[in-house]
Amino acid sequence: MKKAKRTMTVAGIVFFMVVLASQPVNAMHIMEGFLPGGWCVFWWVVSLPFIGFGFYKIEKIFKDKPEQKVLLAIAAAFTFALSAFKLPTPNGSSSHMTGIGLGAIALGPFATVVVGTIALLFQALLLAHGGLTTLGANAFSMAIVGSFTAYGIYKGLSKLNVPKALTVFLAASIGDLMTYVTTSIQMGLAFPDATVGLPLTILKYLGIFGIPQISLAIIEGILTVLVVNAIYQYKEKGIISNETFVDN
Amino acid sequence: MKLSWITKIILVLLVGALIIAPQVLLPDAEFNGTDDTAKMTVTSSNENYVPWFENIFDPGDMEENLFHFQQLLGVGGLGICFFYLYKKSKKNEKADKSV
Repeated sequence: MKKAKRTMTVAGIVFFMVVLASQPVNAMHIMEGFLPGGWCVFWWVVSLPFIGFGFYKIEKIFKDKPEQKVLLAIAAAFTFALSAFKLPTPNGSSSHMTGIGLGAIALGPFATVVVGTIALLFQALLLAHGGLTTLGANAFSMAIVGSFTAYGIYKGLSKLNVPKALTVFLAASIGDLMTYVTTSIQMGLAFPDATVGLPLTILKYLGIFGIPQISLAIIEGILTVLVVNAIYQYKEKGIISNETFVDN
Repeated sequence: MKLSWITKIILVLLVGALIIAPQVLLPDAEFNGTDDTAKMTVTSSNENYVPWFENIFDPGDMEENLFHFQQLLGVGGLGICFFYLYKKSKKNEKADKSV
C-alpha cells in the first residue's frame, strides 16, 4: 500500500516535471512540419547512432562512475534553465541559449547528446516548440554539433597554454553559435532558393538564426564559466572524482 | 581554475548588462521568435510549401507560465545539485577532523 502511494507520488512528480520542463519560446529550432520528409528521415538517420552511443555512455556513468551522476544532473538542469531564457535580439526577434557546452565539458560529448535530445523532445511534445518530425535535425544541430564543437575546442585549447576560464568561455559560446550555423545550413539545404543559389540561401537563414545569437552566445559562455568554476572547487576538494572533467 | 570574488561579480554584472542592453536600446523590438521569421522566409520563397505535420499538443495560453516554470525547474535543479555538493564537502571536512 505504502509502495503504491510512493509510486503514485513519483509518477505525479515525473509527469509534472515533464509538463513544466518544456518551453514555449518561438526560437531557434526547426518548426514541426517545416522540413520535407526526406530531410527529416536523413537527419534522424544521422542522429540516431550518436543518441544510441550516448545512452551507452550514460549507462556507463551510472555503473562505473556513480559520483558523476551529480554532474549529469547539473548539466541537465543547466540546459533546461538556459533554454528557457529568451532575449530580444537586434533584428527584432528573440532567441534563447542552449546550455550544451557545460555538459560537453563536464561529461563528454556523447552523454550530452542524450541530455540535449531529451530537452528537445520535451519542447517538441509539450510546448509546440520544434517538432517530432524535425527532432532528428534539431538534435543534430544542438545536441551533436553543439556538444562536439564545445568538446573539441575545450580539448584543443586545454593542450595549449590558454587560461582555463577563457577555454571554457570559448568552448561554450562557439558551441552555441555553431548550433545556429548548422540550423541555417539545414534550412538552406532543404529550401534552396533557386534565384540566389545555395550559399546565399544559407546566408539568409544565418541572418535569421545565427546573427541574433551572438550576444546570447557571450552570455552562455560567461554563465558556463561561472558554473564550471563552482564545480571545479568541489573537484579540488575531492568531492567529485578526479577523472571527471575531460580536462588536463 | 579559481575565479576571485571580484571576477565573479564583474561577470555577473556583465551578463546583466548584456540582458538589459537590448531591451533598453530596442524598446520597440517585438518578441517574435526567430522561427516565426524563418517560417515567413520559407513561405516567401516557396509559396506552395504547406507544413505537412502539426504539433500534436498546443499549449496555447499556458505558454508563458510553462516557460517560467521551466526556468524555475532549471535553476531549482542547479540549486539542489550544488546544495548536495556543499553538504557532502562539509561532511567530508568533519570526517577529516575527527580522524
